[in-house]
Amino acid sequence: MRKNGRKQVFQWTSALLAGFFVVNALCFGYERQPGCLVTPELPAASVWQPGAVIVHGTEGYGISKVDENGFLNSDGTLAERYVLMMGASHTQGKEVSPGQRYSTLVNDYFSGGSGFLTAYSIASDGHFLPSQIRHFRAAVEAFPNAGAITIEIGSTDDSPRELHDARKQPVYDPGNGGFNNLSPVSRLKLAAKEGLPLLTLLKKNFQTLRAQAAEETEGPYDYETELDAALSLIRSQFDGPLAFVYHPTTEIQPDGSLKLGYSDNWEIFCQVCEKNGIDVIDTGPGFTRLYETEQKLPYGFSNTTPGSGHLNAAGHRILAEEIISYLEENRV
Amino acid sequence: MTFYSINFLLFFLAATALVQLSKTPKTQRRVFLLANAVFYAYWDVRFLLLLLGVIWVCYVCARLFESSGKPAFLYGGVAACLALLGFCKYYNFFISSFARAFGLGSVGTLNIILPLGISFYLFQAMSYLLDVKKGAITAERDFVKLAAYISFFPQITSGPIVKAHDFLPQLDRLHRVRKDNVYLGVTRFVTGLTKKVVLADRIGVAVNAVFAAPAAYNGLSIAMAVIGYSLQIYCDFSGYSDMAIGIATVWDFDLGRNFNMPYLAENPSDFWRRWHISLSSWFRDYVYIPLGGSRRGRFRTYVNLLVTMLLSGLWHGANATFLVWGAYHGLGCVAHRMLGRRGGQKKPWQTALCTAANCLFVSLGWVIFRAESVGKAMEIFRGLFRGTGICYVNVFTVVYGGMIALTHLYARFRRNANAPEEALKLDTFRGKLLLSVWIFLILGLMYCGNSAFIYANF
Repeated sequence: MRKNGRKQVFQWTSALLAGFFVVNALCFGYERQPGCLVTPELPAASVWQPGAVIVHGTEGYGISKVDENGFLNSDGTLAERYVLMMGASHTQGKEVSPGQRYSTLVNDYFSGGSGFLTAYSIASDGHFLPSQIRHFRAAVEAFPNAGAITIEIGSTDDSPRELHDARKQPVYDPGNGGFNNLSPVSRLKLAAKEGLPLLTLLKKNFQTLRAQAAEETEGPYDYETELDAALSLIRSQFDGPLAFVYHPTTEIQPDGSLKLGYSDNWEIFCQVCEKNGIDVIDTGPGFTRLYETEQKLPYGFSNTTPGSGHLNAAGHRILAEEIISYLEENRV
Repeated sequence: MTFYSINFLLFFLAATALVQLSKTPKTQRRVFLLANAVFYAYWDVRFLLLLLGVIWVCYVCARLFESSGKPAFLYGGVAACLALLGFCKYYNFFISSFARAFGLGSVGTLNIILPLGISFYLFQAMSYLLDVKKGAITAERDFVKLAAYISFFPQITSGPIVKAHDFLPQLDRLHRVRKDNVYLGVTRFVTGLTKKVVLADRIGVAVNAVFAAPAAYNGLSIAMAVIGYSLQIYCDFSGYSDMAIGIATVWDFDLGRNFNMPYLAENPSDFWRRWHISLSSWFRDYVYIPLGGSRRGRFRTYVNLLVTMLLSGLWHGANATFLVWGAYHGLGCVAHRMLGRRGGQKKPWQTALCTAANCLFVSLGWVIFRAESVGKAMEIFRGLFRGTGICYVNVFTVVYGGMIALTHLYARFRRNANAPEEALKLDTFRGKLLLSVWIFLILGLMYCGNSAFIYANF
């Protein structure tokens, strides 16, 4: 009896482990995120493990290779002058193939097949406006030959407190926070993350199930004042053309028309940008044109819902067209 | 407390331990009732008293009938159940429809909250009263036993509707958690879980998007959404039934079969022998047959079919769409009865053609069922022929639709058009490995957004 019990326990344990590894193996072709490091003193909030491959199949489908700096870009060396593209997950474009990302499309347009990178993305997941302001100084110092900077944002409704705190920019320190200085334990954790993509997928699923909005206290901060101070700061740190690339949300109405969703603070945001000499590229009209002429939406994929989620290939194309037009107007 | 939550797992394990520790059927019935009460109260404690009230009324009516021999007591009980159902579910619909018909403007609609599972437990309660009337069972002396049946937790929120004469005798014996039942129950439960959280919920996202704004999509997208909804509602409802049946199986209960490859049906009547079998057989036993069934001539049979299907449609909800949907299926059944060929074996191509035609009939019917109004349904039908608009072919509808089609083909050619019901052989390492891979696949592919059961609304 006891022998049989031991056998059953052994069989169940082995089956669970084997089952885990079978499904884990499938994840390499479906959803795989490599290790990533939080980097407070580098140009972006986090970087991927250089050289790693990201497979993203839960929304759209894309296979991306991480470059030597931990960002998602085409192969090649930086041109003498280039456009630095800051942004969050939309700019990374993990949901589309690398050739469909707006950063790649802009790069292809200006590089003319020279092999040099004329547009360079330093986007990272969750790198929204306050985070981009915080890392702006490090970005400018890390990429001193940037001829223009674009900052992709999907919302201007950031917390005034976060905007206030974002002005405490860390000093750029390339020797600190990279993958070279990791402890053996951290290396082991990253290796586990690389080799066990199922764990990351399960964690993501459970986080979605338990998603709860964290409440924050705002304190005595005013949006317009804090935004003005933040934008004034980044404007003082970079002389060249600087533009926010804003993409509104989209919603299909029951009558079949497209409704663009602008942030509550959109008007104030535009006014403050104008005051500080920062351009705003609004992709909304481009989205409307896309819908009316091609009956396509800028967001959503065939494995998600049309009009929501991340930018799809058509959305990236619109952003690329708007950025190219802006850069040509500014003769960058 | 959904079936796939940690809370439910803990609740079920604790209840199972109590069931296993019980020494007599009587003690077990108390444990079942306690489990039912805890489960129902966890959903909505406010209506627990209403549920107990319904059970008490049925108990008293049946006892009075037994002692006096007057069927009026049983009919009174049935009328009370129907009145409660009518008030909770249909009052606002009928009062506003009446006002609209006579141009009375705003009328006194009430803010009624539909008690969870009311359509299911009231039908079980009426089944008890009508079975007593028919003499299929005797009036129950043990209130706890009757309460354990009517409030049985695995099926109280979304069925299956188990008839009294099938279930009450099962409460007379001692239930033990046996290996075979656990294997079968786990297999059924995991099958249902897959249908619900992987298939139905994923496909549902695509369906909801198109049905919310059909004017924006082209004909292909709308056709895919129509197919998608046929798959979604099947996987959602049969998934819940599988989970409920699986849970009951672990406790050594037989709730019967609620779905049997409905999209293999060759005609509307066959469809209703395969879809929501417990509801169809309820209407057959307690409405269609008492109305005379097919014994009173051809015309009366058609009328009986139509009345039964209209009531079946109305059971689903207080909306004109459900009535139209019921009439649509009723007319389908009548047409099949009028035109269907008698006897003779169909050739394979004829069977395939009939199955495809019936699938089309049923799928178009789901549009009426799903739409907010008959006008919206018409808009979707018109949209099927639209050449312009967003082209949206959802990957999950295609892939999962293909998988469901393969399962149906397997059932058609290997199982004589019946659903497979084998348990995983969990004695073997292979069985354990299969279950392990299956569960990890569910966890990896599950939809994590809003995933309420469609039939829980009814």
